[in-house]
Amino acid sequence: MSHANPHIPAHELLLAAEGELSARRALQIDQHLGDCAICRERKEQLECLAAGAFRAYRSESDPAVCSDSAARSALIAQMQEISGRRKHPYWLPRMSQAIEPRALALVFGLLLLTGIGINVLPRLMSSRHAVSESEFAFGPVVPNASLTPGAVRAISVGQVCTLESPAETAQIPPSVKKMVFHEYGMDGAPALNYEVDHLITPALGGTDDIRNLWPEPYSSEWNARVKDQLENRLHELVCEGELDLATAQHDIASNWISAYRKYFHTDRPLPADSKLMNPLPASRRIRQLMMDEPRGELIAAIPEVANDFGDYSHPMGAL
Amino acid sequence: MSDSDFLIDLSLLHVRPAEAALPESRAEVENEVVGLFDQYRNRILRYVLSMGLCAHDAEDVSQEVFLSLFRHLRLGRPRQNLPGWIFRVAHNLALKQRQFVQKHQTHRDTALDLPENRADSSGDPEEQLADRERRKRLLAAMRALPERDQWCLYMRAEGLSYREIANALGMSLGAVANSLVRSFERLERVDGR
Repeated sequence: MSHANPHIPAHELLLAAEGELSARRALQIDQHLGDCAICRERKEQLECLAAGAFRAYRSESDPAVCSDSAARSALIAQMQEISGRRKHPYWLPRMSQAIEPRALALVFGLLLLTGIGINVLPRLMSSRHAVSESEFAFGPVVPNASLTPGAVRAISVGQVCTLESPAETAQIPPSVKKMVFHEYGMDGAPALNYEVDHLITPALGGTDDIRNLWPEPYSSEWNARVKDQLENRLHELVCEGELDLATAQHDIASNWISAYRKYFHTDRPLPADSKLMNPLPASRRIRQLMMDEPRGELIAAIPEVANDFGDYSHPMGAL
Repeated sequence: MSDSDFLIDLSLLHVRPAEAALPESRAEVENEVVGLFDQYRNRILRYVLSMGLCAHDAEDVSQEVFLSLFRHLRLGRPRQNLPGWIFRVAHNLALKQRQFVQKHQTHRDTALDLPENRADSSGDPEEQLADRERRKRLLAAMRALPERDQWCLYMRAEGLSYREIANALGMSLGAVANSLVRSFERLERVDGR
């Protein structure tokens, strides 16, 4: 101990009380506290201050902390949904218990009418905005937000725009793909008909976290290849400074079909050779030009094969 | 300094594979998560509220924390220092949500009432008034602390050990102790006025 200051530093008093000092140092402090009234008083002051601060903190927030029973039930139900042990949304049984049957029927009737009003009538009036109902027969064209909200890593625009190595976005392991199918209640679905796709593409900072993956169908109108077009478009916009990365991530994660419509100014997927679309970002186009011509044409026509990141597999295999 | 500067690298929590527990059955994991929910949910909620989230966002964040915990445990990932893990995930999610809200909204009501608006149920009116005044002073001083010091203080108030706080915030034990001392000294100056 320094002769200049014979007393115990405050942080050591705290660490000693926490039992986080060496036995030797703890013993020294204990002995010192036995002899030094100033240090004993200081320790009590710190304890008193801590108690006052903690009480103030808890009193501030306590009224906002509401009953946790509903949240607890929701958590249990959500875990069961994730585990695939619950076939219907977790809120349905609670709702049906809480509301008497006639009221429930009325509510569902109103919901049905509202649904018809909101969803069906506009589609009947304008087919341009329709995502065909039959598309859902192929699988989830957009992911379930509770299972696949999207996940990103910390990445800068500079890194996004220089990301070229396929090694940075390794293939998704079969076990994870299997888990994704399982979470979506699609065990046994023919894997070749789906791409276990990143909601936020790794090219925009998306990760291989299961929360960023879902089984995207190849067969529907809004399919995995169409989404690849959007990914390329967003990447290009970000790298050309026309769109910030966070907005690109947010838009593709919120609803990629809406994002497609927004960024391609169209209501339907564009053909791969559309002049409205640059199927590949600039860096890829340059590499494509370096390839021999017949192969280059082929790659331009099949966007998923042109994917540099190696994380999308074509059902027919690599060329 | 932006919020993203404080985001904590979750990979720091990963321990060597040998220390990782084997995946348990779903029912076991669900029971464990529910047990931890009962133990920590209100503390998490209070902590993320103290970070400035509105009640609705705080509820969402706390729910997401326990779903993440479920996924974490189901995948057989490390269960070392789970309280620190829970607070760390809550901290990161709250920061992200706060960034999102700040970016998309200019004004949002916070869930925290001012303490002077709360009724005190017991004691002498003069004592109640003095106690309220003291709490007001302390709260104002706490809100004026640097954010990292606030987080240490709030986690400590939620009953986390220094080691758990260090783990949750990616700091050393000594840095946690120094942060708390700094905070107490500042509160002391305010309290002594």
